[in-house]
Amino acid sequence: MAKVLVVDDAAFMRMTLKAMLTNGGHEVVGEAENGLVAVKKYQELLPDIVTMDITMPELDGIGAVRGIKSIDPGARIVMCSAMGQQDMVISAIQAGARDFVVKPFNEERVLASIAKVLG
Amino acid sequence: MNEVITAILNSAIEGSASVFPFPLTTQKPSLVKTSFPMNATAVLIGVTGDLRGRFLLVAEDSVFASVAESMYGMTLSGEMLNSFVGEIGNIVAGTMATKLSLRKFRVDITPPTVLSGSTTISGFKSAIQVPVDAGERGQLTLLLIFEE
Repeated sequence: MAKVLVVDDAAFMRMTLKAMLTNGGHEVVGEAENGLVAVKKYQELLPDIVTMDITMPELDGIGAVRGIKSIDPGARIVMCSAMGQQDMVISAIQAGARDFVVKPFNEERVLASIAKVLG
Repeated sequence: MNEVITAILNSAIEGSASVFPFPLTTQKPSLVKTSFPMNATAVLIGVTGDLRGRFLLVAEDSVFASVAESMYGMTLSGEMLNSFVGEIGNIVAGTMATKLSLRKFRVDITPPTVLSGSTTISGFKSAIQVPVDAGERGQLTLLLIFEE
């Protein structure tokens, strides 16, 4: 079981991810609706893993990954985005994300990614 | 220019077809000049990068609710349905961006804005609307607004 911070600007997607992660035995310890809030909550909550959307207001997911990695280089972050083009995936991985799940996704895909990144 | 419009159109149609978990029948696209009146719910996404414009997905609330049920097994209403409408717009536009990248166009998208009720979308010179039939679920419309 892992402590998870869920980052997505859509309340619907946060609710859906929370249900999937809870079904998989994980605990969602916090939620953030944009990249700035995500970096702040990461510092407060120190989760085991983060699910990160890309297209968000204030600060996008790639910027948030850079912000979190500057605080904690060992942070484990899985991108969950509809922007699945190759250069976006490369940017996310270069920023420090460990895996990339393309929306729309199902519970099995999300839990498999979390398990892989937790090792 | 026609090649660019065809690439956008095909990417939008392919994106929709790969996101929705039920068969879609795409109707004939038509040109929209200067304004688009609607009385429904819509999600608007800005497109930036190699191609610039706006993407809208328009449908009745009941159609969006039916899409949510088929994709996630959830019955949604009110604020959570509005949030889903924004998210499905983000997913379709994001998938369209991915399809465009395979055609060598690099684009990014903005966070969604959800519009409800009777309104008129204006402030553009030309756009293309594509009605998409989702069987018993009803109809959705893709509106692609091009900037010069």
